[in-house]
Amino acid sequence: MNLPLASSAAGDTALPASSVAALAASTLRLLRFLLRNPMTFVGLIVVSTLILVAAIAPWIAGHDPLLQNLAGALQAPSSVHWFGTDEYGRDVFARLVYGSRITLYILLLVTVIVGPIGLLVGTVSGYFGGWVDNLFMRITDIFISFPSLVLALAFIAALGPGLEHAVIAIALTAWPPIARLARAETLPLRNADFVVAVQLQGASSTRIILRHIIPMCLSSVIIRLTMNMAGIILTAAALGFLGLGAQAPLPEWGAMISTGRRYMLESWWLVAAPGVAIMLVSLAFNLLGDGLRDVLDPRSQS
Amino acid sequence: MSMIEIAGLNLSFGTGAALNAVLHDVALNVAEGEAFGLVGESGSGKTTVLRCLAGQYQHWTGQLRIAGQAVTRNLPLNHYRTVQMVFQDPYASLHPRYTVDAALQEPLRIHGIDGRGQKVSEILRKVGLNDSFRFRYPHQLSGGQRQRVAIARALILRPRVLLLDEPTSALDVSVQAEILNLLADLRRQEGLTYLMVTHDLAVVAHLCDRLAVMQQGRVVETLDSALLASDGATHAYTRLLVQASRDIQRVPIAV
Amino acid sequence: MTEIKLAVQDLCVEFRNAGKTSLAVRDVSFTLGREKLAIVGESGSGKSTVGRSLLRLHPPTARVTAKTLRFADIDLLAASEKQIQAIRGARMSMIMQDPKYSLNPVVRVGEQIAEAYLAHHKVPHREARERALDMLAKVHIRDPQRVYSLYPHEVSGGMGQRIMIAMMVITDPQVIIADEPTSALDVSVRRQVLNVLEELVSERDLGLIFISHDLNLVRHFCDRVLVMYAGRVVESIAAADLDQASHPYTRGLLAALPSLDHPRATLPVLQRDPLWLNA
Repeated sequence: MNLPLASSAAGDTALPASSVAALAASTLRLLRFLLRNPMTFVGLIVVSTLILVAAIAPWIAGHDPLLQNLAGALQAPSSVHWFGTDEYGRDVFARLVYGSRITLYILLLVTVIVGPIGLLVGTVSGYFGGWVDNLFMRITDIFISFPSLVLALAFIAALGPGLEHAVIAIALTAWPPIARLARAETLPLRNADFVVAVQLQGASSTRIILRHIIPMCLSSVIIRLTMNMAGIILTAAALGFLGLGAQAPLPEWGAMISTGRRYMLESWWLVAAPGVAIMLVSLAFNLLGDGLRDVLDPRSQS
Repeated sequence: MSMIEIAGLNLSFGTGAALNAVLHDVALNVAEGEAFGLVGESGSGKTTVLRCLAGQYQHWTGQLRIAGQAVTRNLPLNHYRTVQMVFQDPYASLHPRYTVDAALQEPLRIHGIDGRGQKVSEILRKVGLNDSFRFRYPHQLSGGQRQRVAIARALILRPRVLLLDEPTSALDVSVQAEILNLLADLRRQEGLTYLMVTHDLAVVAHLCDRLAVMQQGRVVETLDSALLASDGATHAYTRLLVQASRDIQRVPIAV
Repeated sequence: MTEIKLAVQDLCVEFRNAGKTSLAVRDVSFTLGREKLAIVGESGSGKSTVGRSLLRLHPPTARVTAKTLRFADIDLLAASEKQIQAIRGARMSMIMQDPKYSLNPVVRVGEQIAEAYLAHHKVPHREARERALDMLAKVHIRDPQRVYSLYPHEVSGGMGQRIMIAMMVITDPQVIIADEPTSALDVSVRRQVLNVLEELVSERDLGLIFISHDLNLVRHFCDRVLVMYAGRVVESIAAADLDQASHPYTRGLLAALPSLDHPRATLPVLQRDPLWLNA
């Protein structure tokens, strides 16, 4: 039989020899595209720094973040205390560094809760349509109709203050937009030829949703989750600021700003350090999300 | 023995005032090993007939039988080992995130069939590709290669009937020739029965033994494809299609 | 001999994507008079890119160069954006493939035709409407008054395409570029649209560039045929002489077409010779 002319897609050199190799090759290509954009590169660097700092916190903090030293309170930044000390004499830099762990903890936990729930609700809703769709979407409507901070406050009021409760409260307000997004992605896929093809192979609905539809929604959801992270950080900081999130003496950045407010005019470093950290990390996630969208979004690919 | 039997097939969408009757009393028979063409323009209902056979639409009335078995509302798993479909658009019929290997193994996994790696290699060779294509993604393949993969995917379950929905209309002319040759060869080698929907009479004349012409949900004529070229078509609409396909005479301009 | 409306010499179009450049069109040369010229090729041959480059409708990542790219007396490459806008739609128009996507879905079709006229002529709206109705009649649409107020989704494919033609011809252009104008249409409707195009070309002083992948269609409809492969013109021949085409690609394409009247057991498969890339 006549072998067709083997096509070589632009830029491909070696042919992958196994499914692992294929996946690795496409991931590498993705990373290369990602790094090409300078803004995304910066975002990636900052986020990586955050993760690194959180990982090696004990080794770079230099001081115990919880150790009080009232004699040395409210000291300006110096060579001993790089970002000064707070009202209890605790080293601000060390608190900032350990605070990054809390920030990451919140981000990870919220994402791990919100991602799967949003995906499942959205794809099931979009795939089956009918009363299932109606039910799920009216539920998400109820959640979306409240401003997220107000809703989070309501949940905290019910659950009580605390870091874990703050995480749950934020997660409960963050999943509906993900569900909406997943549903929007699923609707046009429902009738796509490749979905019909696998239906015609006898695949069950579960299999189709889990293995064929969700992989297509992943890009949009990952982008959305990344862009949401800035909002999560700010909501967590707001809750911490209000004293409803992480409780003293935990070095959560929002709580640091809240307590440092009183001494802001003389001891600007108490507010400036966590404030700049929040701003940098939020910005970094936004830039990263933007870059991911350029790379992953099939619509923006030429 | 009829491989495909369709009798009194009626299908409507919507209810009440929005009732849209799409198929009217469609009837046809396809013998085993035959290649049967279903020809018509857009809105004729030809693709709808295919999808009813595949089990995608379930609210039709009438009788549908494939290989002697009635096509019912809840299809048993082995229905999908008897009938498979090849779609029109090679760019939409393969899952973008699945490698060729994964896409071909999927039907085997669903039906619990072993020896998947080897079966994938075999089927790729049958459609004129080779193992080097196994771990590529669809966007790394040309239109013709994707269509070959789509045909491989349809054949890997060793069906007896292949439903083809305009399999070459989205392909370049030179690629179309390759795919048509491949389909003709496979039919001979595997003893398949084809029901092919197309709007291109030349393709029907090339690949099919008989054909049915559909217009607005009705079968207006069933004839041997050899009669097309020899002006043996009797119905006015068929003759119109033949003329348009030949592009010899001008058709009076209507609105 | 009619005057040359369009003169193209050594047109090259280069696309830059992610640091890689690819040459979509290489050294394409042709002239267009008062005739129907077909540019035929498969996907990736560069035929649509040629059409778009003539109207400077290529994306910003593309670089267009040519020894000559002249429309009547205007150098298209050197012209300013303002000059090109004055040409687009007025003196050189383009008809696209699918009226579903090329007509504005929220504006009535008659209004769109009138708008096309108003973009280049300062006349009262009433006069533009009259001309649009006139044009609808010219493309053989019965009851132009009724069709004028329809939305694009309310008209059939063939009618939509004729509306598009009306829109593009109302300003009396000298060159029309039709990019696969009948590919999205049913077979029986194609003839209607082609007849309309043929009438317009013969009545007015028009040059038509017909871009298509359908060799059979253009051999009956057009006067001359340019066959493109991988960005180059491999054959330039009168449509009536296609059977005597010399380039193996053209011959291969013609042979690979299934024919209603000459069925064959196996279609000859086009063997691509890498040497054609350097033709």
